[in-house]
Amino acid sequence: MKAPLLVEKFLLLIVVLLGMTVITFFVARVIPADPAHLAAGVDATPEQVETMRRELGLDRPLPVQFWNYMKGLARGDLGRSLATRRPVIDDLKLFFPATLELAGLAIVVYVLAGIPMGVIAAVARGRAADVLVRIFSVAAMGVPPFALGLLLQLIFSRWLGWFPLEGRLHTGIAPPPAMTGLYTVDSLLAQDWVTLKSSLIHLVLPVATLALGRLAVAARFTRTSLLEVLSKDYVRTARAKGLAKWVVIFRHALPNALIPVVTVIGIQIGYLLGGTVLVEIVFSWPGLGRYAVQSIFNFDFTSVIGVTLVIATGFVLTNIGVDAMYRVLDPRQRI
Amino acid sequence: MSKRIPFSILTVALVAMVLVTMAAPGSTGPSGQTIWASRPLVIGSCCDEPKTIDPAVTIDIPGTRIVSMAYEPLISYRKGTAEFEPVLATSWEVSPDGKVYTFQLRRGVKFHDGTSFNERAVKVTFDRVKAVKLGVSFFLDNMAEVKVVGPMKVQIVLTRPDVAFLYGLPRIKIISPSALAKNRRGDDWGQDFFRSNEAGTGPYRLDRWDRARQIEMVAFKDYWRGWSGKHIQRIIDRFSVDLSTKLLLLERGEMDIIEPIGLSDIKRLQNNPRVRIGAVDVLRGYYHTVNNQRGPLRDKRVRQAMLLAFPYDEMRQLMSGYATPLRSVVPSTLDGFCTAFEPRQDLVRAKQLLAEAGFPTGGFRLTLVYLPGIEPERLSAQLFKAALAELGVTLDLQEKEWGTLLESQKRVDTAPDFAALYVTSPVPYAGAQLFRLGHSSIRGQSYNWQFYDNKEFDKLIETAQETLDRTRRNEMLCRAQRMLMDDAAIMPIMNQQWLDASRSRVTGYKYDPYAYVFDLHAYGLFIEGE
Amino acid sequence: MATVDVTRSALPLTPTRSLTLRVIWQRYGRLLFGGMILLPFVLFAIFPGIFSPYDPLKISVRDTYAQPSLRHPFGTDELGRDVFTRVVYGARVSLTAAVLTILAASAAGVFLGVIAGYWGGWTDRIITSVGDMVLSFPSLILAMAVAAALGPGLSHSMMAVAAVWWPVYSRLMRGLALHLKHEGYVEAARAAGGRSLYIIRRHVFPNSLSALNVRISLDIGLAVQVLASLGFIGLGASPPTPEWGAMVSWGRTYFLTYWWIGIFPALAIILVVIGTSLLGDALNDLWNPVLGAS
Repeated sequence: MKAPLLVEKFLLLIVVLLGMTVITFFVARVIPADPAHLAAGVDATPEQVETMRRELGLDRPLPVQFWNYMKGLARGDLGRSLATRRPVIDDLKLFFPATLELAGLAIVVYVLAGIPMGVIAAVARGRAADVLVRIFSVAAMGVPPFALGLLLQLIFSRWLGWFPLEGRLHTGIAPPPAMTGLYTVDSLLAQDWVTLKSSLIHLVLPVATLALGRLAVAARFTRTSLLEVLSKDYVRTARAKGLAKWVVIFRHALPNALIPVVTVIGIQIGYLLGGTVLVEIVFSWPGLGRYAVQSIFNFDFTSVIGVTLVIATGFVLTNIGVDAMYRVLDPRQRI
Repeated sequence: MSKRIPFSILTVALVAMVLVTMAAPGSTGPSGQTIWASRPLVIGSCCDEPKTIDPAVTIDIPGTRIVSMAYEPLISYRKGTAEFEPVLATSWEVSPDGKVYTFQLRRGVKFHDGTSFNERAVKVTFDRVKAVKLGVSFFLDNMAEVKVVGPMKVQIVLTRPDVAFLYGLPRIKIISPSALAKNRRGDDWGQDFFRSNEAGTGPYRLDRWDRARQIEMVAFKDYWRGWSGKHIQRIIDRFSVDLSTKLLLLERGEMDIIEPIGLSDIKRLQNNPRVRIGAVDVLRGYYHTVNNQRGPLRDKRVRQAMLLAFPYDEMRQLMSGYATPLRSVVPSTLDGFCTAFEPRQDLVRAKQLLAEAGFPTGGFRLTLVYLPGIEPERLSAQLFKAALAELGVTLDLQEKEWGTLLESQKRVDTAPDFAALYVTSPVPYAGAQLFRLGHSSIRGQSYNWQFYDNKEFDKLIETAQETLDRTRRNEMLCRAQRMLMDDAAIMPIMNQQWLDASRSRVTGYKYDPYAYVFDLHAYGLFIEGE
Repeated sequence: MATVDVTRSALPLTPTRSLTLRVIWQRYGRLLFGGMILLPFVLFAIFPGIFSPYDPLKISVRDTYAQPSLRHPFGTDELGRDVFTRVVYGARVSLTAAVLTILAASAAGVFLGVIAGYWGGWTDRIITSVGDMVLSFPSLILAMAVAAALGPGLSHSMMAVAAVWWPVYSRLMRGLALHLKHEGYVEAARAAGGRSLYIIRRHVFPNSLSALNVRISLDIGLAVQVLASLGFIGLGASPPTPEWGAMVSWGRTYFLTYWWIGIFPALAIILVVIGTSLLGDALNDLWNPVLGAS
């Protein structure tokens, strides 16, 4: 029952990736811009542009370029960035941990904060706490990440000076020895408390921006789902049997209510990735999102495809993971 | 008694060691003491990290800034002037026919990799630049060959006399031949290696490159000039930071130099005693390029009307006074400039000209393209639009990315009618700028976006380039400039000064307009205590 | 001892329940609040001239960077234009763009979804797979890529957002069509020999309208947000068009000095999205009590 579904998901992943690669490759070539000229530089003479074109392999016919690219892909080689001439894989390895740190922490925050908020709202249903949570939900839900980010930057960084404006570390501080690429983890491993503090302080505003918007959705969904479960018969039976309110909630209702919440969190990851792009721009965070935007404006097709593939893969894999968790959590599915 | 001799030998040895250490080059230099600044110099770069720091290839600000610290040329411009000073060459002379340049090279110079600088390094460097055919190679377009004619002596032979050659020499930075030999792969001439490593003779060497974040340079202890006097030991070049953030960091003292700054920032920084604003006249003009071969603009009278329509004074006001009138096709900082144009708005006369050309009430549409993120371009575009509206001409503004704009300029029918453009001359020679803006051989390319095709003009600037006599040469250049402006082929908008900001504790810093493209002159900088 | 109240908020009032303030809020509060927030912006969009005497495009060299004051409640920007005026005219630009985009997306999506749901078979498979592929990708990033490929310009970003959004509607319609396909009256109509198109038009479509309407009203607010995000990245309207997202992006250069240039358009975006959220939410509860809250 599980296996064929998983296989189907993986097939979908491959199809999606292939589709994206083909589309990006060919669409990108149709754009009225010359990456060779851009790479050669503003003042380049025509001969220099041609030299660059040959170096980048852009003088070959399109199908040949595509074939070469696919061959490389099969070997795990994502080609070279047209702008920096570095292997795209190196660029991706460099920028991925930054995005992971940001998005990962945001997910943790919004799960840890959103679910309890939803529980409180469900339990205190109709009363002040509930109303407050619901107002906050609506307010925070639609705020575009860049607007929220700018607002937070203005208030907490510029006016109050509590947090830094941008970047991952203070200028004078060197990054910790790279083990995972996540500065928090790496400085913890190296027991470098100064760097740890610097990286955490730099994470506060970007993570808050990302998490606040999505927090509301998690809270709302938890609330609804918990309310629904609480109305079920077996819960009323448990209460009738005399079990304390909180025991009922935590032992019986919550686990079942969490199932749909997990699904929601899975869906949220899509929005999270989009939001990450905006947050990375606002806070000058050197992650994949910023890299993707820069590559797009540089007409750096190889990089764009590389980032697209990574994001698509990550996204689908996460969805598969969420699906699996869903199956684990829901006893009905296991039968 | 046998015990005393070893003791005295020990003392002598000890004293000798101390004397030898003190005399070692680098730590204190030829004479005098070194005073190191107590903190690193932090620069807030305009842009993202350099794509390459290969001196033969890079021609953008981030790359050339690093190159200017790590490498040196044979001759250089005396800081902030157009005069030459000896660097790795101690003297030079030109043959009477103008085709052979002989250089005497400096002894006792070391590369960062420990090898010594000699005549072979010069030959290898120049051959490499020509072979790689990117970046600075166009400065050597007229070079035939480089000959070694003796120890520490080289000759560079040109195919024909070219005054621009010497002007371009400071752009060629000398690399270590052994570093090249060790790191060549196939026929890439070491480009992969030099993309992210350096092997020069300059005062600073690359210490650490934190990708997408910053580059750290540290003083090269065996630098041939020595380190006596006040110097900075560590320089950090920080990339990809927003301008508004950089301003705040500058005010807080976390950054020392930020470049460039916008007009709106001046008001804010002016009153800060700890910040100094730098405004320098550069080799750059700001234009609205004009497509001479399309639509109503084919008529000279329409073009002249365009020139008279623009509100030059208002534009300079918006620039808060950091711009001066551009009275010719080329800026006055270039050798060979002469007045060829009076920037003055005259809507009445403009309307008359349009009427003569058959458009008494305007009635046609034109497009102007400008780049995103560059404030003055947006401003001039909107001023122009408003002005043309008064003549009954509709100006459509389009924001396009550089790549798209470049591509569209290649053909007359896809090129826009106007484009907002900064053009910097790579050498302080007016002929170079004139060539780029109007020579018929590069119609549709950088930067003859005018599609200007005038054989007389071509001949003037070609002959000028081969004329060694300065007076005759400048007279030809002046005729060329007036010719271009009479044809109203381009709209010179203004001379915009280069604006940057630095902490007043940094001494010795001034933007060098003769650098290509950015020379920090780091050796002469120092930070006073605060 | 408080009990856990398990009744749903949207159940119709029964005679035994009292009309407390709380109940009024639950039913109408959001509607009112959302409407109140949105109303000014809608008015801005329709009658911008009433709200401001200034011209949003006129350059005035003398009045640049003025701080918020009585004369200029939101201050002026780098070209001396009144920011409040530009926000007002921006409502027209941003709201119209969002409405058009969602209308296009819903039209395409509804059409495709109905076909897929009603006819099934290969048509269904193809439409659903393509839709799933599009949906399986983070929407902003995909929209970004499409808009980048098309080039800058408001119409291009509108197209990009519509291209990314239609699967939402096709999925919705498909589900509804499938559901209704087996409803009694539809089967009866088919048994009586009615043609498919007629059935769709007469039975399937009208019964889906309420769900569609809720979705559309929610999405308009989201579309404002996505279009603004694209504008912020640089893929939206070009100057001098006062589109809110682009205005925030341009204002960002001066952000730490002349903060008003960028903040007020940002606040406008936030308010509009909150307003449409509240509204859509309330409508959802009112019209779809069966389908449950949120």
